[in-house]
Amino acid sequence: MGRLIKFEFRRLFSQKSFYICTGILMLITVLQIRSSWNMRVDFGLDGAGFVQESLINSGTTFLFIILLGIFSALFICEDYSSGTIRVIVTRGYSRAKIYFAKLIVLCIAALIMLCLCWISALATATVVYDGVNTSMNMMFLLAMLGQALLVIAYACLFNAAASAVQKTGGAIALCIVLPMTVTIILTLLETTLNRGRTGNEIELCKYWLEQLISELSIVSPPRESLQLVFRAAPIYTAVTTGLGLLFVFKREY
Amino acid sequence: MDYVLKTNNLTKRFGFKKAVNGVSMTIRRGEIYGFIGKNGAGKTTLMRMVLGAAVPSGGSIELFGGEDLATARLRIGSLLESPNLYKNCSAFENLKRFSLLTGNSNEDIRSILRFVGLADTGSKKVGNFSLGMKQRLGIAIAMLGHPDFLILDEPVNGLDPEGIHSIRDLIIRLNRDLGITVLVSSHLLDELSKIVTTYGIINNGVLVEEISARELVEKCRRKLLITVDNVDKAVGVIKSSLGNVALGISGNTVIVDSHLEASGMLNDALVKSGVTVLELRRQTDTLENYFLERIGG
Repeated sequence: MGRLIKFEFRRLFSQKSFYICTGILMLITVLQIRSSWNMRVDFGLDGAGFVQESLINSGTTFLFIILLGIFSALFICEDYSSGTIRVIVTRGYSRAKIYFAKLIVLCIAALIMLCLCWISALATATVVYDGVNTSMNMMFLLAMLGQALLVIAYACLFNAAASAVQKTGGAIALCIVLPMTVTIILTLLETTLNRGRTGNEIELCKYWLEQLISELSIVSPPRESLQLVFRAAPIYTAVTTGLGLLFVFKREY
Repeated sequence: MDYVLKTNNLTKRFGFKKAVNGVSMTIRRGEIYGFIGKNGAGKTTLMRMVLGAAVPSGGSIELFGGEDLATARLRIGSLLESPNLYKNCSAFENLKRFSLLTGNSNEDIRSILRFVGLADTGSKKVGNFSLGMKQRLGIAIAMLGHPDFLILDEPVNGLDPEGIHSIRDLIIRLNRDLGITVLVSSHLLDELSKIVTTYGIINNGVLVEEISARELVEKCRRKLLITVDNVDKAVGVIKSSLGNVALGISGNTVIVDSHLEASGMLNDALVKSGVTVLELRRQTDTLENYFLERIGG
């Protein structure tokens, strides 16, 4: 397993898409913070909480999820589409070990992307605000931890999707469309189930990853939201990991 | 006897079709085993099962005298169909990546690159390599981890004569210099016949025959076929002319496996003894003829 993880890390750090996706995310983060600061100045607002706000917003953007999906598809499918997976399988490594090595490295890559977004947000916000206001309370730190857990859950979801498709183009499309499609389906279900109901309405979307991550895009998220994230993220991680394993378990190369 | 691979009744089904049907084959240490069969005969499927890329529907595989399969496969290098490479990387980077799975050093990688003649490719991307270079790099990847057994599926497919020659030379050097046992499949029977020590002929998923190169040469040897009106009398005349040689008889044809140079003298002796020679001809079986005959082609 150690050798497989080393192999996957070598692949990760020589993968251009990793640097491109991370670079784009950092650049967009910097530009967004700069533009947000300009708006604040235009509206005559002060900089209170600006650094924290910038930091917490940087890892929850729609673009972050899209780029993470694209990178995951490229990273996971490289071996399947080039046929190099055969070389690994025929060297006696089990499909489960190969799957987990890829998953572990993908999750670490996703966390690196998130951390670099946070760092660029923190650095940019500190520079433009030109003041020291970086105090972080416990709820704020928990929200960041929750974001990290949700990013891992997303990585596991994308890994399962890419492992099922195993073709780069299809996997990219699926990783982009899947989170949105689930949101649309849940919204449809929600409206159907709640038709004619008054009060005590059924909420499905709030349990889905997209809603969970947007709940954490504020500096002090409600305790209930945090609790939900800390319960749901590990469940999503476990379920999607298991599903992905099913897709590769009996696959022949 | 020291066996590298033994399969027992190995079977692979795809739906109702048996791609490999009860194959029991044996490859001894040090052999170059040539696997012959038509397209779709089951060669690649069998190799994939041996390598763990496909799961058998029945039967068993024994590697290196019964080692655990996952451990034993670490001692096998393979090239299945086309070489599987990272096309955006150099030859060195390709080997470097896979060496992390096998534990080879950079010096090992350089030495393998020299062995396959790709030491001077530098940072050239594999995507820009010729087919022959890709095949050689595929074999280089198979050589990582100092394998005891190489499985090469159609390694000369699509190569020009020079490429075929270089791969053939490489396989011989791997076997002779490094003592690696090789299982190689190819459609180019003539090419195979230059390197192979044992043949396995597979047809419709069934292993039709396993035969050593020496036995095959014996079977394909040139013969003298003499069709006569009186076989018994002809046998007597031939024996008295050539001494106690082994003769074969098929209908009214006498088959002489040796003394082909004596055909004129034999004809003369038979005619003088009153035997009518209806036909006298030399016959040489090629590997291709033998193969076609065995698979009923």
